[in-house]
Amino acid sequence: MFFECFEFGWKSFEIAERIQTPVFVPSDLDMGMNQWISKPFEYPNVPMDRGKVLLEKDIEDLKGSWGRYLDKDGDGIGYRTFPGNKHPLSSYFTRGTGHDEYAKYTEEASVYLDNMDRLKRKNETAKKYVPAPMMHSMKGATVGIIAYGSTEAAVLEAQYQLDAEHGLKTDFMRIRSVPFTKEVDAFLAKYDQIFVVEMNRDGQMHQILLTEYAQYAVNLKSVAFGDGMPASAKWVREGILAKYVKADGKQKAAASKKKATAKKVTKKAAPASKLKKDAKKPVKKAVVKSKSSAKSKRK
Amino acid sequence: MTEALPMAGTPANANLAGLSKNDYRGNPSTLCQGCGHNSISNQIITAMYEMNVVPENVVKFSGIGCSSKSPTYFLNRSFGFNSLHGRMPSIATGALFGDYHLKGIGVSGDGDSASIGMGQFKHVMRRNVNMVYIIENNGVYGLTKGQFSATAEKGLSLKKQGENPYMPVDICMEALVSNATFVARSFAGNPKQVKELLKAALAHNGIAVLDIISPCVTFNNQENAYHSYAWGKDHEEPLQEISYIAPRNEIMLEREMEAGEVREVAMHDGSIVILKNLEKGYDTSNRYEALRVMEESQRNNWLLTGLLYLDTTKPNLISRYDLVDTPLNRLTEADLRPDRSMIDKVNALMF
Ligand SMILES: Cc1ncc(C[n+]2csc(CCOP(=O)(O)OP(=O)(O)O)c2C)c(N)n1
Ligand code: SF4
Ligand SMILES: [Mg+2]
Repeated sequence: MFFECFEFGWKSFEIAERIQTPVFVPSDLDMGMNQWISKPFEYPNVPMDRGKVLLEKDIEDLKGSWGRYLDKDGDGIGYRTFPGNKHPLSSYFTRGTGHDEYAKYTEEASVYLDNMDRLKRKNETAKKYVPAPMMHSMKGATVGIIAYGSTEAAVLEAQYQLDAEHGLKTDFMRIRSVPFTKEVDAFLAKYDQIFVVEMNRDGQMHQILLTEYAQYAVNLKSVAFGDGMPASAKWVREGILAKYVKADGKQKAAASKKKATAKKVTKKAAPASKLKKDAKKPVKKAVVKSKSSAKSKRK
Repeated sequence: MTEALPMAGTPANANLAGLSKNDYRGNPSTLCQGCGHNSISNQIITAMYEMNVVPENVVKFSGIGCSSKSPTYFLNRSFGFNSLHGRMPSIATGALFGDYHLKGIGVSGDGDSASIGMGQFKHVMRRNVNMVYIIENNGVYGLTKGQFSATAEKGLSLKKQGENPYMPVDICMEALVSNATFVARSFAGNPKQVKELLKAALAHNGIAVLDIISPCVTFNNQENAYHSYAWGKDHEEPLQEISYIAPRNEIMLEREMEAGEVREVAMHDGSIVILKNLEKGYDTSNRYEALRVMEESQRNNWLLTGLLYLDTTKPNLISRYDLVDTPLNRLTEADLRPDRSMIDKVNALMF
């Protein structure tokens, strides 16, 4: 957690300069206010990225064919100059209103549309630079879990418990950036039940995912909770079980459970069967819920 | 700021930088005709031209408002940044750190600086950032159709707004108590004074605040309104007659005025500001005096203009840091990368 926060600190500057966009790094009160054990921070061992910058000689080489918002490379990112550049063609005015590729004021609709399209391309480009998610996969997983930030440890523990006590094998992807990278696309395409675990009241990441991946909306289940305390494996586990639908996955879950118990033979057998009873309750409820929602969908 | 540009075919009316006045102009203004902001833009153009400033050595900043639109209307050759509402000071601080050889000129409004941007305004004062900070003060939010701003006088009555129930913020007082090193008030209806104050402000090494009463002819120009042309013309009480003398001019000063009534202030760049006092014995280096005359003018309903306070001894923001000559924005990886041992120090700090 801390290790990554440090790394994201310096990375955010690089990404900001490369994509020419402010980068937000959300931290966590728990990290900010308390002492924790962490791996030692690592020396940033990659070349620094200052992005696309033109100095006087570069503009001279371009023979003046330069526009602040010209998309020369097709990646949506223009070349920029810094104040202090003495070349007469280097300066430009950053304005809050509509502007053309040369940073000149305009109210031309087609120019505005082009610029919006460029920004969309830039957002695509950004995906190549932002951190990819971390995967905690399990062999034979039938459902996915998405979480982010400091809930990680609680989710890992819940992942273990769900497997050991309920025979539910899960793939856990910890998202580390918005915009979402191709790994996120692939993860969402893989499972028909994905639990979005997060520490807030409204399920904010769930909402973002719904907007970005409307095609998977029915598969995404929000497990949101926030009581001011750090995340616990208990609420992650219970939250997932409350929304987990066996439905056609009934056999799958049972089958994979058999494999699990077969592997772990003696030790896990007793508590797993004991806990199975408790697990039934929320599952039943969830089935009823989904039926009614399926009905209302059909209307 | 006065290094000459190598230019072929220098125009006849060229200044010492080899530039004509046109080199200092911007786009045609889209503000209302007669707006005080336009006359201030014109004085900025003239002051820069007369001071032989090289436009490439200046960065323009602004926030949001009619006033903040005006950097488009002067110095087309300079870099400019139209920032978020009330956020000009932090943008300017950053850019001027990026290259400390540059001079900043910021144009803000009373709404931009005294309402949403009050926090940033205060901090840019106490940090003594090397820039001219102009507030084009009209008592209203002109751009959003004339709502009362924080500098509107109590009792001001506007057709669409009703009567203002609150006491006004005095921008010069706020600047002064936040330890600004150059504080002046002027009036767009007095262009000569605006120009001379602008020159003095540009020569100042640190933050120079110019609170310029700049009437909004569309929403707040009734005769009895504090921020109107008519009221300003009737009630203006200049503290001094101000003349700016460029560093290279060896003009002999006329010594006709009584001793004590003429003050010469030597500026950082070798220029001199001559203040012919109209208020007897006014001392611009006395903060307490500045507050007193402001208080007095409020009580007497005067529009007190002129250089209220000047301290040329305080270090500006940059000089508090041990910066290399190369602008920070040009440093390369070789200059910037910390030694590998630094990570061990950082890790050791964690215990
Ligand atoms: C964050 C934000 N809040 C509100 C606005 C709306 N707004 C635009 S200009 C303005 C006030 C400008 O007043 P002033 O700075 O006095 O400029 P003037 O137009 O009078 O010159 C406001 C409130 C905005 N653009 N951004
Ligand atoms: S609305 Fe007022 S402040 Fe804005 S341009 Fe017109 S006169 Fe100037
Ligand atoms: Mg205003």
